[in-house]
Amino acid sequence: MSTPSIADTYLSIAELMRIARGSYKRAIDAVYAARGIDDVPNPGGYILAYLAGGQKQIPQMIDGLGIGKREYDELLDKLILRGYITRTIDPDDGSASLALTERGQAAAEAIFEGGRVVDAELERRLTADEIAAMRRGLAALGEIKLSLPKV
Amino acid sequence: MASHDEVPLPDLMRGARDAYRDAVRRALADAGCDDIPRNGAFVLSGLAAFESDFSPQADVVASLGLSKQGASQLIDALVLRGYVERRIDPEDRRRMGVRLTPRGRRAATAIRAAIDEVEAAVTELITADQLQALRAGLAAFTEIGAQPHN
Repeated sequence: MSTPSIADTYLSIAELMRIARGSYKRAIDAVYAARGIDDVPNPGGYILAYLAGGQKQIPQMIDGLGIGKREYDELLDKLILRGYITRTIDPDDGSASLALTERGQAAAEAIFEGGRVVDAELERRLTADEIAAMRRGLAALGEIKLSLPKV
Repeated sequence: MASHDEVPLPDLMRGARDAYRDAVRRALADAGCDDIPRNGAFVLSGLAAFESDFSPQADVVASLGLSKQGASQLIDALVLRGYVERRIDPEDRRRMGVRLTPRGRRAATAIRAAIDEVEAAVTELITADQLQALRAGLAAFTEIGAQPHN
């Protein structure tokens, strides 16, 4: 087992998570830059990825983003203004549906490519068992989140 | 709900981070400190390690991983809201030092307790080997994030 050195330095998991969280963002930003995509608002990339993955349920998207409804609405406005998504209103029931534009689809593909770069690097550094155990640990933290009362 | 085996790692990481975020927010609200700006909890936790000494503001800014402007604005907000005090270093008047106020110490204590609570809870849910793998995995992410992506 090749444990990276920082794992042997005592940092709380919270501190490790804060340091680690930029790994995907940096990789995705590099792909964005290579493809001329430079104005995806944060955390709008999650919305593009959710839409590309077929996610349609807006309440679940908001919960996953950790932002309030107002911030979410502002984020959608920016994505629409910058040409990443469209919003169509159903004339019968007034409901809104979101869809990726061609530009939004290209940005989503860049996001997935950045993710694949990091995942491949992770697989190079850790064994499959280690990755599975890490995933279990992250999922456990997610379970704790769900058990906490909302503030 | 999808098994965690099927959830993309970025989403798992986000969910895991949110466990801390929610626990810290709740603890801060209970402590009467509900106006801490984004990333402010990290600053307060870091300053708590220095007890009552002033820390060089430049070091605090560098540790945040934000732009200098963003970090300075964050510290401004913490000063204005009574969590941090700032003074000119008497030995080098070009430098600024920052430290926690009593309100900042109360908030830092609440943050520490919330983090400890989450970490105690996670050790109930996973094995020691899984915990070690979690740490190793996060460390690997850190190293991957630090390397250039071209």
